[in-house]
Amino acid sequence: MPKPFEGLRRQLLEAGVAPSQVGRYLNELEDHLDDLVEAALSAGTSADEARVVALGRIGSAETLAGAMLVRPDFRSWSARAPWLVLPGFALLALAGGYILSMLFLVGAVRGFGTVTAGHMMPPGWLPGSSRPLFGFDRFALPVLIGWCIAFAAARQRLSLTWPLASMIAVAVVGAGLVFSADWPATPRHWEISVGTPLFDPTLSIGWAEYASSVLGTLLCMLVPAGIAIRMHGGSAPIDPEGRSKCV
Amino acid sequence: MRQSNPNFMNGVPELLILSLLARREMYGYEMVQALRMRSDAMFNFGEGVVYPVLHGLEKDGALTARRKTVAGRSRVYYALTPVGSQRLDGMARDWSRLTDAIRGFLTDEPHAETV
Repeated sequence: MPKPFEGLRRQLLEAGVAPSQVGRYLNELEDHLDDLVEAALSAGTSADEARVVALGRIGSAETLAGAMLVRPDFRSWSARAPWLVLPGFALLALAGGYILSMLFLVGAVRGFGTVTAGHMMPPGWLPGSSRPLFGFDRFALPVLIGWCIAFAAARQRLSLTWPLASMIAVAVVGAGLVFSADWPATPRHWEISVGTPLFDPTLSIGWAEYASSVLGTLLCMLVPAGIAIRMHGGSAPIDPEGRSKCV
Repeated sequence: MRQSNPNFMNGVPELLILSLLARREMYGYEMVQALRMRSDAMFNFGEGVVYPVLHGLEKDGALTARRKTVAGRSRVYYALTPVGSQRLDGMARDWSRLTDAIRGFLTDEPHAETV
């Protein structure tokens, strides 16, 4: 038996209603439909007819969608201001990842380092461990953030403009970052730095490497993004009239 | 398919729902059946439209919702909050004044109070 409110779900998501709100509405509608069917059955109606009667009483997809859409506060922030939420989330997530990595390194030095000749020296295992961490921040983190954006955009049936712009921003900023740590062998100060050739062309990364890194990141993001959009039905019209049906 | 009564969407559903929930907590289907019975099927609307109204009232702090299992069925029960009680009082007062004014208008009696 087809799910009775799938068309309504799609219609509401495309109108920007928050997925959690849509899910809750549909769950309650399904409960209500079950009650109506049960009541019709106990009144002696046949099973098929009971369902038709119940669907008629619960309301048409247009009525049910209209009741939800009159409240703008049911819309998700990513639908209300995608130009702010998506790039903002992407860049904040990147920054958050870098800050956590830096805090981890500083914490490791402070927690496990030794003081030699008045200088705090990092533990021996830290230089080796920092390389995969920097690799994660530069390659995996932007891709993971891109997947999150793609999944959210597909789930909420957002238009592709802002998700794509955010993914490109994450790739451009994230894939070009150069992390470096100066772990001293003799007692002196040590430093961890992060930079991008966008602002500091003297960094040890060529433009060709930078461009291929950005492209590679974008490719890694876009393949699963395409799958996510396909799984969620994309943003194609629901039927030739652009309206969904309840059944 | 029944036609929805558009007037149902003009503040009346909030008033009726708050009024029902002032007595006891209820779930959506139960509220709709109570509305039908008490209004002698006067209100003709798609029953599902009650949920956005309930969610809106909950968002405004007028109701609380909790899932409860009764007789093997899990349902979302709604209950009035103090904010909801205040809102109900205000709406009921406004509605009374409005209906008095309309009644006065229809019976051609002057109505002293301004709505």
